[in-house]
Amino acid sequence: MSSKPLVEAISIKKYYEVEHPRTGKNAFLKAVDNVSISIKQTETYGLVGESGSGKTTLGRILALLEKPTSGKLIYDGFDLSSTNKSLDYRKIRREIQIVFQDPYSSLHPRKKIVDIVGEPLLIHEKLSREQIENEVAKILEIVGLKQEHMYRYPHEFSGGQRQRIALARALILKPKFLVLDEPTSALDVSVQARILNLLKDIKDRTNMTYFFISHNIAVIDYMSDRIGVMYLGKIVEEASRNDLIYRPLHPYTKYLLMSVPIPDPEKARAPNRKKLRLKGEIPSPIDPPKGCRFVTRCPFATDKCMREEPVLEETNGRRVACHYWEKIEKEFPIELSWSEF
Amino acid sequence: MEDILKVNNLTISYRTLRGKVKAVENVSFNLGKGKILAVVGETGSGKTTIGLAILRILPPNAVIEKGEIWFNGKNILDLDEDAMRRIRGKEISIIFQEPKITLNPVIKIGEQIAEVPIEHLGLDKKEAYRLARKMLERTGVPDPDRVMKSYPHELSGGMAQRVVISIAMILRPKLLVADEPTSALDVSVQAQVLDLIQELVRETGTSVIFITHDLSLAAEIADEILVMYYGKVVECGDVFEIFKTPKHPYTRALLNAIPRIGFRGRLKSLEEMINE
Repeated sequence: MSSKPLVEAISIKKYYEVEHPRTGKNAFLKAVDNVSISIKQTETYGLVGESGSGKTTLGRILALLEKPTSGKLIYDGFDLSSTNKSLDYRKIRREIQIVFQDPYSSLHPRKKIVDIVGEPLLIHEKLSREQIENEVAKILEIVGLKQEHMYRYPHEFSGGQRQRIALARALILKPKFLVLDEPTSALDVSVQARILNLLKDIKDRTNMTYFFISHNIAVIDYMSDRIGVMYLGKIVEEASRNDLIYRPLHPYTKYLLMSVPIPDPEKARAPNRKKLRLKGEIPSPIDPPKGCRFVTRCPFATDKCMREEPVLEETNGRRVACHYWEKIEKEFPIELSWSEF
Repeated sequence: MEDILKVNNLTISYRTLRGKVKAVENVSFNLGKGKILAVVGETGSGKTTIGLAILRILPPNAVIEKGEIWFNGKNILDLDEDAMRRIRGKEISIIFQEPKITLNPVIKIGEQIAEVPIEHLGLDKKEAYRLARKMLERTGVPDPDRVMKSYPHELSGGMAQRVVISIAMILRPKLLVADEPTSALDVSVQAQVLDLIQELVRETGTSVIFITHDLSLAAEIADEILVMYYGKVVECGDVFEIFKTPKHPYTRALLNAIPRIGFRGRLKSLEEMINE
């Protein structure tokens, strides 16, 4: 893996103007609040977070579907915030694709598969009908479908097959950067396994770079080289997958890992596990707490945490945003032993 | 051990435009008093149909072809609607995946909970509200007085599910059917709700049918597991036994398909297992 960044997001903010649910006044929903990340060439960057963390918004910004309120987006050395409709922008636009969570709403119900999957070619390459059908046949094969499937409609397919179709549409322009927003969350576990393996196989063949979003930290761990943890619009921790799951530094990450159900009844019922439950729920991004965003749920919070927002500091090639991570690390070491199978 | 529920050879079909489709076929199981049975299966396995049949709230196009559901010495399938209404909410309760859909959007939370003891026990309003508030407090709702006066849309998903659990558990039912009760919740809230369900049923001695697509949740809370595949039971037994030595290839396939934190091999799908 090269360490050269393919995508750099610098101080990205995305604020939506909304009506405050209690006061009725104008307010800002800070979906993404000052996030900087750098995604290396050919890596899979996994982003994990609960609902309302802003992970989907960040994914949409990186997929160029949404313009940030402020901040800089650099793709392959090219600053996307400075220009837009230039030739370079068009060229870059086709190198970045996205697959959405719900394959039932992301495919046009009255279009045939060949038109859904082939549409990007029609727009970007102006190919003939015959050429498009050839390309669609090839890509369908790659995602594990048959070429005769191209003359059918989306409703004739199962959820897993539809997600393959969505993937085929994203892949047909041979993108370099693929945003995957909860691509398997709507699927049964046995279908999920197949799609995850397919995504891995395709990446091995193509050297694409993935930005993989999920609420499921086990799926993120399976897919990713590096993992970012998002909470209320902020990245609170970022590390290589092994550092993150075996030695999480941020209290949120620690508690998140302890909350994941374990498919092993002996381990799941270990007596000390239940004490480590995260209390409460994620606050509204319209009224985020002052100071540290995690302060309302953090068992280690102090006055300082309520006043001062911790910065995402760099340490040993990883990043963490907590005033007390070193202290917690010393006084509250948690033993995370995940079994190898 | 005394059984609270006995299901014998239950077979249920749905009438559809393309003819009858079997959803549940020859399903039999027993559930002991105070035990938690996880019914595990993927989409279309028939797991939800079993839960609906126990409460006799199947959709109109469902046909019970044969079988018996023995609860408390009576075959539920023989009872008339009046008798069923006296059982539902009092002796058998159900909670669903989406608390916001379960709750009535235009009725305040307090009234929705208090309605249960008023209806079933004939309590007066004041007493019923007092009981409702106590129940909310027990389910860990912060500021129960405020929540009593709130509408469902003012609550988070986790809070709404606690309200639904309050409604289901307020009369200490003998049997609780929980159909994917945590699938719409974030993982940290899911853990809280699982703990809560376990604590409550331990206090009340309630037996639970816990319907889920997720074997890990079964590992967390079940005493026994029933694995379903296309309407049929493929494996049933003690939770520790099944996780240690799954006998049916489908159970093994399901276990191999779950991503586990720290796993560094390759997940195996059903197809890959068959090909081997």
